Amino acid sequence: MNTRFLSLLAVLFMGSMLFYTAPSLPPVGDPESPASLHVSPYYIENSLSDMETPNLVTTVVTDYRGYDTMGETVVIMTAGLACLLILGFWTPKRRSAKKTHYQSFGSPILDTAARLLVPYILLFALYVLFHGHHSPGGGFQGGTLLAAGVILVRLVRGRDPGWGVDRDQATTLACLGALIYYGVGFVTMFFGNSFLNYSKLPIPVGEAARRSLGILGVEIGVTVAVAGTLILIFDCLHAAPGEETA
Amino acid sequence: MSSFFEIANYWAVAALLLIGLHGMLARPNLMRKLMAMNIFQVAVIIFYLSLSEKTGASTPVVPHGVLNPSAADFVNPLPHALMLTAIVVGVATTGVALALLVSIYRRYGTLEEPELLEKMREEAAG
Repeated sequence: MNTRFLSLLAVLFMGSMLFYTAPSLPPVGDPESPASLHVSPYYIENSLSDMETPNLVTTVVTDYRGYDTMGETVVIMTAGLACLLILGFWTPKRRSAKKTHYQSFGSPILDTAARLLVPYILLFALYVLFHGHHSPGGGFQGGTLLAAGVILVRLVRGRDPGWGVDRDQATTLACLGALIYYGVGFVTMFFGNSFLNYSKLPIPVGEAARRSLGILGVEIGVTVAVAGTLILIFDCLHAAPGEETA
Repeated sequence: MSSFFEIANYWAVAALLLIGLHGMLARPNLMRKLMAMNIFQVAVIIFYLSLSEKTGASTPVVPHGVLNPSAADFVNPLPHALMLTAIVVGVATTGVALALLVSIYRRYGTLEEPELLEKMREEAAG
């Protein structure tokens, strides 16, 4: 009771502060609002000529603010590894001869639906990744869709789906994705003394096209990292108590 | 100063923020605290996306054939980019929090805060 009263007090205080300060914000949809004035016009007007990529969000995420996204990739990789460490990594896997942990919702209808859906989910994931330069999409979304396809099979067919990547492979993928991102950065550093400056890539095309290819490279890294991390988190949470943990 | 209805988005954001804050402070169940934290996070994301909005502008993807895009025609891509990464990081941190909750539940058998504190005190007393 006491907690609830104190909490309501804090909520009332914060609510009154918000009510008092919110009217000083610019109206929603104001093109002259301060948030839209400084760097954002540069991004909108120059990204097409700088890197031949019409999707402005992609260019901001992976080129103009590429360092930021590099950090984010490492953050999600670390989150996946943290899940692994929290939920039993140090104890060896218990490999039982009989597969007792086959738990699934596997009715024929679900099984057939998953068989039909999963290829298209994975194909759509690749489309979202590779068409992310020209339409909404990109590495994060593509990686999430890839993980969704793999996790759907896990949900329908149980812990031994017989298809997809297992937990250790997902760990490798999560680290590999971050490595690809850093790798692109180191290639540009090796050839042009400029970390993550994609125009220094050793590819014989125009400068804007080189930047476009560099964006594709790091997007692939982000996709692999996100997909691996999400599968890894799902597997850690999905493991039954006592199955692989102390 | 903006009028009340010009900033309707921000009132929705404020409501979500307060719901999340109350949930985090008042609910005794750790799982519900976590979900309240996610509501709080969604409020922040909606706030940033509202900031990026421009009346009459389209999504930040330049259509084919437009060679010199002008800033007034496309919404601000920067908050979209920031929130794109924030959403994924939010999912990953939620995963870590869930893993922590799983291991707390395996050790103490409860996620209710008062019971949990009592069991931890008993354990510390030996």
